[in-house]
Amino acid sequence: MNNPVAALPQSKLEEAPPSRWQTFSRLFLRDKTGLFGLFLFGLVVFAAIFAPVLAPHDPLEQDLKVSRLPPAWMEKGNWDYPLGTDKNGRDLFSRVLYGSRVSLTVGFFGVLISGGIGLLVGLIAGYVRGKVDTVIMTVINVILALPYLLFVVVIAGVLGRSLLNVILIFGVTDSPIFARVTRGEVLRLRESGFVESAISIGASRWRILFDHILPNLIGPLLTVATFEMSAMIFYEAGLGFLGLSVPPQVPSWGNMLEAGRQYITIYPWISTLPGVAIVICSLGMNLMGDWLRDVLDPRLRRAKN
Amino acid sequence: MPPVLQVKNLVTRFHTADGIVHAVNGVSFDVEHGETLAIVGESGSGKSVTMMSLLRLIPGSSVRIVSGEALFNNGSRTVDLLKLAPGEIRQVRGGQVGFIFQDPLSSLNPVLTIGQQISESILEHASLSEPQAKERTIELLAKVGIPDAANRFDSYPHQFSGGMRQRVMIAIAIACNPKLLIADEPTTALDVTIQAQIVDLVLRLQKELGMSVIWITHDLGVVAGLANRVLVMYAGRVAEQALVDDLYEQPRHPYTIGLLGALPRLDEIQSKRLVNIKGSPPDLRVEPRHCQFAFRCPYAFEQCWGEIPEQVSVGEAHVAACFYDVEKGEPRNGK
Repeated sequence: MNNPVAALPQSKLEEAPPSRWQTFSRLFLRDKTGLFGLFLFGLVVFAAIFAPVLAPHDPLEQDLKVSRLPPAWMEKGNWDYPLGTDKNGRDLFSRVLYGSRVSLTVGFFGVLISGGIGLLVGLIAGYVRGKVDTVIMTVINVILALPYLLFVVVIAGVLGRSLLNVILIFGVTDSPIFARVTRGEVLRLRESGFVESAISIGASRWRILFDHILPNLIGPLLTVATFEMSAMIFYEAGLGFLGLSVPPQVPSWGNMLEAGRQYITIYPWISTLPGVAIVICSLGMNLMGDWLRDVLDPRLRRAKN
Repeated sequence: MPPVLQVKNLVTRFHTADGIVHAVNGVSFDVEHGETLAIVGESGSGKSVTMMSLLRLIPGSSVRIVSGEALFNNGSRTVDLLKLAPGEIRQVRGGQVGFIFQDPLSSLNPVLTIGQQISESILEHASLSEPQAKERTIELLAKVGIPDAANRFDSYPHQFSGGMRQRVMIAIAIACNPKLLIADEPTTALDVTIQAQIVDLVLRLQKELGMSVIWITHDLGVVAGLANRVLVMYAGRVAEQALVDDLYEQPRHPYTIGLLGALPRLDEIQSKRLVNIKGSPPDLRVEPRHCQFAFRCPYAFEQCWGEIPEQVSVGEAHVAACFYDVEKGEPRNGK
């Protein structure tokens, strides 16, 4: 059979496909909100890394002579303390800078732990199915059904206030979210055409799990991770406000919110500034999460092209 | 030389909440070296289930391969595919038997490059290093007609059109020079011009590699230009088997006659209404005790409702599973 169709021009096919980096940078520059999110998040990371260089004062240094100073641009402000001071005369700017370290540490390691547990548990539940799946999902549902705050308060009360404990609490209580997303994706992927065709070329179970299913999980999980990280930063601030997070002298945004609470009508900046920091951080992360999802998912990427 | 594949009395059932589905009810056929066997039949006639049973590709715990043999000759020895250990059947899949699926859009992993997915098959079955596998992959891409193969190695599936993806699937299927290629409706999801290209490609590769091909389809038009032999399936059984020309010129089973009658023809001057086969396929949840086509068969008589017809020879290399002799217009055996 001589086929005239085969002779059709195929010029489009002959263009070299754009490299991964080209695609990445093009998408990056085009998405202005993603860029903005990355900028905000970058600001927080920058503050966390260079806090010792940027901070004009030791965040723990007290000077009662200058307590409750307003920010520098306000009346009675002082450029020695650009954002003012709290009731103990500690520099708010320095404390906000150092606070980003607590937030990012909790967010990052909390997500690492909960993501790790969730991925493992979700993979097993979704791929093995059957009784194992039923048991795992029951446990997950029980954890999710517990009143979250009460649960955290009890654990925090039992374990005591420390950074490590906060991370562990978030790591465990948040892992069901990752497990559920993973399980759902695995259930979908294991029935997909490409898994079927991988079986048909003789791939082993492990190869299917690691080479075919796992790479497909990265996009969705990374997206969940950014949102969960932002949520953890939020919750850490909440716990700090309740006096259940890191010890009170440690500069964290939640602790600072709490410290300023009683002066909110007279010296509003003491609570407002860490609040603004929290907003910047979680807004940045949420915008970045949306953008990451678009970039990491080749199917969505195609739809946008 | 023994046939590449000899399937004997294959019975596959699904145990579902609604009862037992009798999907394949005693299918037997041979595939000779280098031949193309087309399996035709309507949806639910058991074409795909038969093929997937052979390679034990049906997932889930509901499937039961009740009986049957599938003797596969890989050149040096003959093995029963249905009795191989899981590790051995994995060596057959992709190594000695290639499989092309219906939908190339979902059969490729969206997050892996084309190159990775083709080399996966090579690395699984051949003892080649990664650079060697890459070289072989590029060779394969060129062989299946992907232009600029070397640069396409790192492309993702979404950068390919449907026809090109099916070419990639074919490259994966033939990566290890299989003895047998099973194509499960590979052109159904593609438009007609691409269908023709894919058919041509498979035929060319078949000649080059000396493979046998089983082509599952419900498109009798594709069959005519492709197959040496045709096997018509109905309700999980073989209705008729014949060389392709014999089947079109002298169909012997009332179902085949019905199918061919339902095809529109270009050479008829006056257009007439297409004939359809009255009724609908039988409920596969009922265990077959008589000819399953009897419900719809214009020739059905007493015997058809009493027992299941076996395949009888009705000509050279031509068998039909029917009690009625369409040629003579009377029941066989004078009953």
